[in-house]
Amino acid sequence: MTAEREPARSGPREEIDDLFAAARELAGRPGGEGRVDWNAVRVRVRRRRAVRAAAWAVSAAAVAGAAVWFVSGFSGGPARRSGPAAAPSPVAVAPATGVLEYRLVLPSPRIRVVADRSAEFRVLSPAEVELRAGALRVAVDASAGPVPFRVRTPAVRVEVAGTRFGVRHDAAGTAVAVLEGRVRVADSGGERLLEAGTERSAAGRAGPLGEAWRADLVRALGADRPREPEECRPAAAVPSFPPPGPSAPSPAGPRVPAAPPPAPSGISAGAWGPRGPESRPPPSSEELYRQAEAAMAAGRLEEAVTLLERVADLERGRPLGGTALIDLGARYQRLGRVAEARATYRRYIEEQPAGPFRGEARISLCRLERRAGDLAAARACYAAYVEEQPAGPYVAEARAGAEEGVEIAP
Amino acid sequence: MSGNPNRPRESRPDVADGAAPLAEHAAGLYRYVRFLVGDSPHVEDIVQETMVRALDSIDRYDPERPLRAWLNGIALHVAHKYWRRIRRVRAAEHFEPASGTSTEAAGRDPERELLLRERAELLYRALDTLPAALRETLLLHAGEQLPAEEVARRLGTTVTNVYTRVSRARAQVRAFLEAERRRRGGEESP
Repeated sequence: MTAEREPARSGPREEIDDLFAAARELAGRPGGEGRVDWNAVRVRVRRRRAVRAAAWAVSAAAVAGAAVWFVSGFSGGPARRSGPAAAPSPVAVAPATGVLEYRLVLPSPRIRVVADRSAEFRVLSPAEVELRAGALRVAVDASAGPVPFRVRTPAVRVEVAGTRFGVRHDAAGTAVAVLEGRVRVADSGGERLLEAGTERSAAGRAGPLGEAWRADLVRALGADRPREPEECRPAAAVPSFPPPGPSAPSPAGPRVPAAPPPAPSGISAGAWGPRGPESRPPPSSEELYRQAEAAMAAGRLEEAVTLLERVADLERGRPLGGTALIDLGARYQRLGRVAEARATYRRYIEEQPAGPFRGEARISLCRLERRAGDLAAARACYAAYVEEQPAGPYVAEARAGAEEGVEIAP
Repeated sequence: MSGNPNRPRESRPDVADGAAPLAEHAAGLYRYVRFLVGDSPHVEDIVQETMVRALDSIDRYDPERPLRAWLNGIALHVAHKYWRRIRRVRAAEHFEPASGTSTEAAGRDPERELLLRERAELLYRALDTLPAALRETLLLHAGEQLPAEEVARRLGTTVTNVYTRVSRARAQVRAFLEAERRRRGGEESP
């Protein structure tokens, strides 16, 4: 935020402080406390520990196996790049979902990778797998927060934080399919977000997820939906791909379409992928805002912007929409997207006639107008601030700004 | 205080599994959770869940720190999860007198009691309009009156961010209270 560093208790005592005093007094009175059911507590603790021990055992086996495989199984390096895996690797594998053609790899406890038995890949770290040939299907459990994970192929990089998807690489290039959530696909042509229910062909074309691949993903990863996530990745107002067309291999290798149509301003139900047993209700605006806050705190500005745009659209004219707009303006500024920041602050002023952040939106807009060299607009903006917020915290700055550059007659 | 009447009450904490020291803070924890969420039917669940998590991770407790503060931190995390659910079932009966502790019996001024309850109810309705992050920051800073540095440490964020959140939360609560005043004014006018 650009304009809200005031110490929380610097001002006079407010009504809310009196309300808190009342709540403190009531809550602090003895009496009325229930009792803790310690038997139930112990049972649940034992259950939690058992689950944790089992998960630890599985992941420890996976890590140990991966380490062995890392040393011996993939040591062929570039010489093996174009060929299939010579032999089943000693990675901690198990038949997944009863289908023996798959191998299960657990780079970390919250990531499940189901690979073709012939796939050539290696686990670079708990957050990264390199695929050189074959297909991987990935399920990331984001129920306890975002899980950074990346699949890298010689052609593209696929980044994810909470989803189920597949990556296939062969001589034609790298294809990506998203069953749930979304992934960010980066190649030499740039970055694009791929939503649930879509796929990107080896030639770089995007379109609806094909039934064959969908069935493969469901078979490998299971039809069951992950637990309700606290931090799920939404399919936000991201650039949509052009309609599917003939998928001819590109001589230049796989590329993501360079100039997708502009992002839709509204939210359509279809943006969340197909409805059916694979889909789940879209997250609420508040959930999206929480995700945006997490993204902002982690410095993932682009992701935060996408989420905030969505919240601002969904909550247009409502308090949360206003908060999202203020955040959005500040993030645009951080990203150097000044025109969008100005438009966002203007939008706040239009949409939130009684919003609590009008002063901040106005002063931020004025500063941007001034920095952009549009002194006339800046003066008008500052004057509007003075008129609207005569006792506002930035009124001195606004008065000075309103008179800046004005020639005073002798 | 509401709760599940079918829940067994007679189980006792055991020193051997580390529950005894936690049990000493159960009453205080109840009061803290009531402060966090109001007198919601979920208070008991949150306390129970807090104790599960605390007992589960008692080995990680640093005895140099106050046990009460450690428990409160866990309770805040649990309450964070419950807030959305609580919003849906929010009843108007915040801070109903606990059974057997009527205002007369406790020797309290009924008018002042009514005022306190109305204020508390208004507060929690206002807090219900805030995103969880703003709500918990405001509760810690303005409600518990913790210094911003302590709030930042507990929430794993920066002091600047704490001030930002508190400032926003206050602004939103102010707007809510103003709207509420206008609404009540409209209702009272003929």
